[in-house]
Amino acid sequence: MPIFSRYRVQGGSMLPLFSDGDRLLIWHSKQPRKGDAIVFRDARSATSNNPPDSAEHRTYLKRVAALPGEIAPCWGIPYQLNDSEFYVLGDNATASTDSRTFGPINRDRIIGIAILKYYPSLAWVKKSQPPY
Amino acid sequence: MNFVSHSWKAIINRFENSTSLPVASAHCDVPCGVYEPDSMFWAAETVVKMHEKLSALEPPAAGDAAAKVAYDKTVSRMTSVNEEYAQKCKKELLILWTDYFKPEHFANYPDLTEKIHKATKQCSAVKRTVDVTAANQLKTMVTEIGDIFRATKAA
Repeated sequence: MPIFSRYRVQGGSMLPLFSDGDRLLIWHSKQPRKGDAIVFRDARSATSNNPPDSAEHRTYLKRVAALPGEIAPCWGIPYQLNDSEFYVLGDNATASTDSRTFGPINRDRIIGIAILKYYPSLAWVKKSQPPY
Repeated sequence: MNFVSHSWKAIINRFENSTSLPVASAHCDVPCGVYEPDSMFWAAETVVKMHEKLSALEPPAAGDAAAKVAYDKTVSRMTSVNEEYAQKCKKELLILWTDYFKPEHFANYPDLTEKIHKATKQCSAVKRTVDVTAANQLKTMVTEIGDIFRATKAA
């Protein structure tokens, strides 16, 4: 299992910090902190033959907005995150499908934390809060 | 500065083919006329979550009026979300059935209509009961239809 991997951003839900076509270096860690931009697998169709950590699942880039144990507004209602659930949001609220819609994500779905944007320019990825 | 930036991009592009990189989708809901099975999955998974939560709720002790009010509100809100997302799941299934799937798809998957019919009926069933098993059955049905959708897109 490599420590890092590279990903290409597709879509505009993480504007203005991440744009379509940006390339990121991802640190494989399942211990994100609030404000970290993370890449995770969409494991809704996980089965015994296709577990949540399978590479077959589509991957998403969102920002951690609430940690396990906190209360977050999933599906429009206050929801108590259990000890393995994270609440993720897109920075570009009006163009993002995120935990507001699909609920919390489990830790086992997390691939890693975005630490470096290396294309089109070079910049460390800093923690920040979604602007809403 | 522009020269440095341009050179950096050129170096990266020389050593890396962007299309070979895995995609991290920053998904948006801008209407684009593109059909997708994600929405019905999210809706079905939400239904499962609500059924799990409702099943786990502990009724308040007799005579505890404040706890009774809080309990009733929680049940009402979760039931409301369950109704909304079961209906959304049904709507998304019917959109795929009526707008996306074509005669050749139904020819290649003769039981597709029956699968969608059963799944939409299950959307109604999960509104009437609090039953985690039934909610998971809906998710399984939706997953199967999503798999067919993906297979038709790949063909």
